[in-house]
Amino acid sequence: MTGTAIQLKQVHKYYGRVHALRGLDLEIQPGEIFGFLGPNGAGKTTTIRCMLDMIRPNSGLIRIFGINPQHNPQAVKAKVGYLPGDLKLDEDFTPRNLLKYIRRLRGKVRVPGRTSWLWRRGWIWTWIGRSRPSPRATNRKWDCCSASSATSRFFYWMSRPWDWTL
Amino acid sequence: MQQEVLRVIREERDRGSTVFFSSHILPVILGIMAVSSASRLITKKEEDGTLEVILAQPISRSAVFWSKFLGLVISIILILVLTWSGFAIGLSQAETIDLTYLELLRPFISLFAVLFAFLSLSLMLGMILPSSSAAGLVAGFLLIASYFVTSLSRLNENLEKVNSFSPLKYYQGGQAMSGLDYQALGILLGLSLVFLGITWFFFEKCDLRFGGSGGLRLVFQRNMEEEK
Repeated sequence: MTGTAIQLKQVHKYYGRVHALRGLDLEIQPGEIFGFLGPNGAGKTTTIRCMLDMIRPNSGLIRIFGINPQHNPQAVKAKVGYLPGDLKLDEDFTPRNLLKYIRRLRGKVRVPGRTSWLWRRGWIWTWIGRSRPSPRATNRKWDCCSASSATSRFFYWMSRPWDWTL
Repeated sequence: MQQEVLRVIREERDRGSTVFFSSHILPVILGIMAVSSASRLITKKEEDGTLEVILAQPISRSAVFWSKFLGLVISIILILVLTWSGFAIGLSQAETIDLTYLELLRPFISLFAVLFAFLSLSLMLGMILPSSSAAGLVAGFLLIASYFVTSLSRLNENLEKVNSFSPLKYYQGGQAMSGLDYQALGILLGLSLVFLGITWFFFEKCDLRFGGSGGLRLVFQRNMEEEK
């Protein structure tokens, strides 16, 4: 295992005839905050999905903390809190239910009391105890954001975070 | 015609016989429910994006697949148990019917085997076809076609060869009360396992399809080779 947090070498991905990733090389060191920017269709989300083994590249090498996501995707995902850009949740998820659900799936997730510990930290306003799901998509993203951040100490990958400010 | 059937039933009943209706309509009704649920079970989650949130957690695709599948199978078993319970309560009240609860259970075992086969078929189609609605439509069509082929094959012997491929041919209905046909059960179970194996393989080996990116999923991505 190298000291590199994320390592991609010559990663290629085709969707049919579309060459979505054309030999992507990327190295990110531990502690680095990396903005992965590009226009629509540049392949940002495709890259992240490849790193999480949701889709598989046609060729190339991917290592997350030295782990091959295709050989051991669970180990990679245990280190990563991932928030999809086009977040979709079941309609009946309240923030608390969402946290409980995530905790069942991965453990080590704190489900706070009536008011959110994130609220007390002052950087997320979501009210965890409310009984109904957030009506707005943006609020639901914040709910999932709190769940994702509570799950990982290593990485926090956010796809299209600027969407959330709308 | 209805009056005639009723007259025959009454005559048989007056003679002391027990009359049971055996029909393939029950597997069709429950089959439509099973097919509809199975076609949406995983594919719909892929389409609406909720599967992405689940698979971002440290759980394997197999765990997601089998837990969802087991959930559906358990719900179908519960429906069958409830239906059987209704019949069993009726049986306990009837004085003239000479049937044990086990004999009453056998048709439901046969029914479960048929539903299991159609459920697995629908899951497999959901994995291969571009959308959950297409899978539901095709599986529903195959179910109805199977019903007609099996029903008509009793009237037309030429259909018997085609009927061999119809899962409903192996549904015993009321005949199961006098004994289960284990060969028929084995065929249905074997079919189901083949369908399930293919479904699991596709789900495990192929890219997930995210909202709107559905296509025929027949191309596998090979695992990346280790770079030297």
